Amino acid sequence: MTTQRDPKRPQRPATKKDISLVSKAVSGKLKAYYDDIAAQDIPDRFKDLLDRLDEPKQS
Amino acid sequence: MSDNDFKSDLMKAIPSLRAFAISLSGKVDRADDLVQETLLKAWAHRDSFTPGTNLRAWLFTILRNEFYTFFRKRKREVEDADGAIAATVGIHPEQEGHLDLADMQRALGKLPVDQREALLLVSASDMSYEEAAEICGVAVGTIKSRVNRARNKLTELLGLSQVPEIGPDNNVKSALAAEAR
Repeated sequence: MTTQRDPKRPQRPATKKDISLVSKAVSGKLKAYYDDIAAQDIPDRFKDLLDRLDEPKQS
Repeated sequence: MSDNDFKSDLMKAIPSLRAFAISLSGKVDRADDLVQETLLKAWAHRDSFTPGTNLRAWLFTILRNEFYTFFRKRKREVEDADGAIAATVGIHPEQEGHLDLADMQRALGKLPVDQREALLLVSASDMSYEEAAEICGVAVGTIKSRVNRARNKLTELLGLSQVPEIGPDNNVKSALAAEAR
């Protein structure tokens, strides 16, 4: 992350609209991050685990 | 509900359980252990689940309890999750420039855990405030305030500079950068 000033952009205080846009952007990023994880293939260990649950209980 | 139906529903729930566990704990290995414990507990207690009710919320409640059991045992390690997180999630720092997943994981790791879970449940898992309140065992108002605080903190942590529409406010940017030190 850079802290350098961008001379092309004037400084101004954040407006309500800014805050709302930022909030939306942050929520969108969070959702994208989360969905990206949820879209990963299910690791084999879980398939194996569920398969084993099918086996008759040992007494 | 037959055992087979229940098992098939468990299978379907795994991706969202993993997403919750990974973003909550910050570590894939630990998260997958949490998911495994959750599945085993759910299976062992399947008779106590009422068919037709919200299975996902039921599973999330189990997972959350498992997380806090672990969290209490290893509090420091969980709090130190920041930093180790990005490396373990296996995501690329820059994906076409519009989404920095490692940044998100790092930022989440810096949120207080009660705020993190509230935000993840409501804003990422699409749970209602009511469902999240039930899962966390707190009032709906508490969840709302935690989500708000979490969202504000996350906005700070991610930095406004990544939202081109608003024109980054350099005062805010440098203040945030200073705070992040």
